[in-house]
Amino acid sequence: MEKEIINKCESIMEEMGLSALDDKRKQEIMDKMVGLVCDRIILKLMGRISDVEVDEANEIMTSEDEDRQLEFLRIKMPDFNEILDEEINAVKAEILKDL
Amino acid sequence: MENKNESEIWEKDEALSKESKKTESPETFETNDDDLEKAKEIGNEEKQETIGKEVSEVRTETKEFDQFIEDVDRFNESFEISKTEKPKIFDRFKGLLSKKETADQRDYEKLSQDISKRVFEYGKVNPDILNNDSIKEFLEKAKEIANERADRVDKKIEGLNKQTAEEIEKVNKERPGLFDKISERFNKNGLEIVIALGLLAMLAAMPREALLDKIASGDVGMQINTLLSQLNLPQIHSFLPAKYANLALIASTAAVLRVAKSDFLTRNIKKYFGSNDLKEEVIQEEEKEPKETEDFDVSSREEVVEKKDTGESFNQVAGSAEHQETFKKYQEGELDSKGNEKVDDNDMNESFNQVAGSAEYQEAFKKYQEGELDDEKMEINKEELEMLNILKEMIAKGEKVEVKYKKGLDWEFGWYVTDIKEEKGKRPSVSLKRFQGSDAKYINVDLSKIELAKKKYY
Repeated sequence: MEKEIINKCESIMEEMGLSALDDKRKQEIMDKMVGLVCDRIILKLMGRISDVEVDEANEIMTSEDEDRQLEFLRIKMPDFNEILDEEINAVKAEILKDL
Repeated sequence: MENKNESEIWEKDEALSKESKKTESPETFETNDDDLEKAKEIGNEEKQETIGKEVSEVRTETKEFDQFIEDVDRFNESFEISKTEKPKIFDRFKGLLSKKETADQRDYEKLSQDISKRVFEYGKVNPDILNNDSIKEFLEKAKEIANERADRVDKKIEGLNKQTAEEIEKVNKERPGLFDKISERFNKNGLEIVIALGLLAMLAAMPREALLDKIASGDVGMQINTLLSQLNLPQIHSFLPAKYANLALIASTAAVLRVAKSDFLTRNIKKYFGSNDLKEEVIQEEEKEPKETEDFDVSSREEVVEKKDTGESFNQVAGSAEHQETFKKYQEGELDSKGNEKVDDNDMNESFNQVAGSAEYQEAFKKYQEGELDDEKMEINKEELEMLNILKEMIAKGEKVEVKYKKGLDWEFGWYVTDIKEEKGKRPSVSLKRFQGSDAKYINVDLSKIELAKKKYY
């Protein structure tokens, strides 16, 4: 399985011009990118939570009810696919700019 | 779209690189030529000789590098026919790597990456090449170059993280703690919640029938299929459109390896796609437990939905005694929400992975995708049969029967059954009608997609 994962990872690394890196270094870069993309997505999500919903959001996120959390996030981000695509593309483009 | 963007970025990058080469290289020569002229003017023969030699070397190296680029292009074109011979170009590149100052850094990096790729391609044809000293040395050098680039990528990410941190600080002032709480949810489950969200968002906008049609048409991204199959997430891989390729690439990190073993994601996926339960075991489970018709529990029906699903082929191939046993544990885990039995997550994931990862499963799933298993007998379960009888009775009486229709994760009320279609060997479907203002909307759905809206029907 790892071999397959590495193969898939090659594509994005190639786009970034990093395909000759060793796997560990590739993974480090990927992890950092994932963290960045996640933070940016959460920021977008925060922008969609209105002032009156803040208390509810806090309560849901503090609870242990994962289904409810998932549902809340889903309702707030029905266009998650697009946002994910946008953020990944944006991060890649910003990294590649004048690299 | 993304490919286009990336391609544009590369093109732009290359254009900048060429531009940079055009402008920078001559300046270098001009400076050296100026120095040479100055040396001539002051009559310093020794300096004249040194500078002249340097200029000559730089020119030779640059020419050599340009020639090398041409050679690479030629090699790329003739790669197919030359793969039985060891390309001499690798030996030459080794020497050039030590002269990278003569080339534009981006050209150099890209070239080194291109050549590495070729080396590995060639290595597949002739694995011995990877043991060749010059090739090894080349690969080491190429790695070194990539690491230099990676350092710059790191700095870029660091810069972007800094910007993001400033934004986070801003929202934290306005809504203290909320970002961290959401972030904790994301981090707790790794990327799984991200993937689950993506899936659910997509599914919410697409009726199950449409998804099944998508499977039947084969309109799915093979790349993502392969990956998810390897990740032992076979139930979902057929449902993903090609545009998830991005996600798949990101998902190539270790974070996703964790997802593959996640109870949380599996549970949510199963909630969405129905269970993999063997029908007879589900029925046995139902018989053991009191009937759940009183509270219209949304999740209870999902466990027993019998349909043209990946679950069926999944079950077909999970035929070995060992897999049956471990898989049974897994299935019992899925029924945990009803039976409140404690489930060992490791067992569950392990058995799931064992079955899903088997060659037999992959083969059967492929057949399923090719439509070979489509003519399976479609049966209905006890609850559905009961509901079907009630529907028939009510319709025969000319009464309106309100049902709730399952759309994605949600149940939509306000639908009325107008007709029931039954064909031999097929599952019954129902025609539904819903008023939207002055208009009416009609849909045909599988029986599993509806539940009676009111208790009184029972």
